[in-house]
Amino acid sequence: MPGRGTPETGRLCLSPDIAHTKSSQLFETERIVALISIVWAILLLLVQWYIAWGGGRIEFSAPSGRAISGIIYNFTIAMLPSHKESISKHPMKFVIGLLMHIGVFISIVKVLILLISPGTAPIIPNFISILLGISVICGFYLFVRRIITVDLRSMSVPDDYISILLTIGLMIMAIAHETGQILSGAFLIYASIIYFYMPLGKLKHVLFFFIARAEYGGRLGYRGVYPVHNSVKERSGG
Amino acid sequence: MKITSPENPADVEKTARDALRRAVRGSGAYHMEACVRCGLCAQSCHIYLTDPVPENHPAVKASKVVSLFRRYNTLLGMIAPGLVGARRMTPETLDELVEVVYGRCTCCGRCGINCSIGADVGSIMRIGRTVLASVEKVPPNLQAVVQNQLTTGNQMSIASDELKSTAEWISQDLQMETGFEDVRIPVDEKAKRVVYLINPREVKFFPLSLSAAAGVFHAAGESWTISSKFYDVTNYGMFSGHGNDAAEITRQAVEEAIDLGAEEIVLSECGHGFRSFRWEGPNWMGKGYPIPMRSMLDVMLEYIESGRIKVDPSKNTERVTLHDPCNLVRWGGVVEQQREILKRVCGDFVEMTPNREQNFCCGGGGGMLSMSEYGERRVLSGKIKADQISATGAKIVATPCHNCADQLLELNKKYKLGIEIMAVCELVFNALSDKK
Repeated sequence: MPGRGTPETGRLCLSPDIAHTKSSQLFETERIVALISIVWAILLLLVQWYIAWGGGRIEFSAPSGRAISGIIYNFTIAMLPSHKESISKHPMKFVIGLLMHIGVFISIVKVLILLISPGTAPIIPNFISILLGISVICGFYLFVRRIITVDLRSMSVPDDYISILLTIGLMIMAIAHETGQILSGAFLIYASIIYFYMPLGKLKHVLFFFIARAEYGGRLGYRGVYPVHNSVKERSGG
Repeated sequence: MKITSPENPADVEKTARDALRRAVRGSGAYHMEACVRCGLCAQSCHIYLTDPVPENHPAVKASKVVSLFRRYNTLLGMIAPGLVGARRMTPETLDELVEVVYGRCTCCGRCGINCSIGADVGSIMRIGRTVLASVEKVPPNLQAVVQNQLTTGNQMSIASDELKSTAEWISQDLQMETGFEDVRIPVDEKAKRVVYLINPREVKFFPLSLSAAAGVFHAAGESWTISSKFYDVTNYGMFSGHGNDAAEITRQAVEEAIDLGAEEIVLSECGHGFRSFRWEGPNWMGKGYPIPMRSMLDVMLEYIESGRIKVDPSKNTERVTLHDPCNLVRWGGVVEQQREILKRVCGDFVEMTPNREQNFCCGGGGGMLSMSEYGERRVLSGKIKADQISATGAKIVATPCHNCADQLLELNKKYKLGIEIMAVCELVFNALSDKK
């Protein structure tokens, strides 16, 4: 039974039975495309991880600390505003970036729900739709900032602009779908484009964020740099 | 500045590409793939903070290296390079990279630990150096220091006889100063427990540092010696990016210590020396060391804590602050030892802000001191450190690194700080209770 998650039937000028059959067939095709795109994204990301690993590095020095402690630290304490200047010196930019990523995450979850259970009634409440709207605004802010800030512009390549526009588009599509403005199939096809592009451009940081942070934390943990045991007061000379 | 030697561009590209492929494996590639160019690292870089132009932005600098990586290691970089800003390694792009990785970055790693993603930008820049070194594009002054180390055993080409005579007169002075009749600097003595590696600058310009270490070893009753052939704790191969050179410099010093029958190698106070010997050396050589290796800071703290030496903090009355060398602290994990020592040997020790793993580079890291072409930028970038020092009101800046000490001496003159720069062991030596 179509709900807000699959608003197709009310938008086609055919008899309800025919419309339902045709839209079901179409939707099935779009689901398959979306699934293929997700498999492509996962496989290609894993292949790139494997290539980047390249047999790995053998560490010949004797340890001073534990790599695992450094990894845990780098994913927890080291990410706190008190321990990371990219947050403490740029709190608003951090919040804006975070809000945008929350919107992307919600959109991705929405895609997955649609794939797994197309007939499910909407689980995204209205306030999350509003949050998605805020995420879109944040995304546009980051896009414009990249254009007008000299430093950012000088390090940016077309992929940077394409990636952010694609993700803004995904969130807009999620809102449009949620409010019944577009069909589920259209939403899935758009999401498929994102998944096909994900392992090619900067969106691949969805995986490499975790790998890089783990490797860095592990290396510093092995050397006894991480975890840092001192309080913020001590570290700031207090 | 064009440093390149005319070579077949295809050969240059192949050599550089192979070097890049080897260098990024299992680490660097992750960080190059992870950087999203958010730009939030700028405020963490001392070079950018003192000269905020895009060319000094850490992410802009890293992107110059990453663009070469993308061309050969990513699908879009191969089929649509313009889309991801991928560039081929031509003699021109590599020439452009020279100033970026040697002249605008000390590879201090501060931007990396503050990165929103966790991308190790310092290592990305070092990979850039490795690529350039593979095609002989290391700035000549820096490479000259490496050549000195390879051909003479030390970066200042000090002959063995000169070292021996310096050790002799330092020993005589030390006997008079301390009242210890049998204190001396043992050279080339076999079967001593410790072989001590020193910075050749201690022999040439800063004998007080070597003298202080000898006094501390004597007071602790340590069995130690230095080699007259391979005693250099520095390794400019780490700065140049030549892994093979760095490995050879490491090998000659470690094998010399083993030949002398040492049970342990102790490294003098040197930031990059510690990092290169303790952490990078075994990886350059492809094997671990048969004997342990520690910093002199570890050893001195052990002496104090075990009661092998007695110290009196009232002998160092001036206010002392501590500069953390990046390679020793942020890259090396020697963080608290120097603090524990200074708290015990100084009457008035204060931290500068920020400190420890968040310390700012003094500006002299990454081999900058040997590259006179970037001297003006180096001194300008030290303004952050000068301001940090001024804020403490300290009269003495202790730093366990001779490279940093050289830079701090220059900052002292330029910014009229009115400070004295000392090695930690000099303060320990001053505080020895038993000497006259």
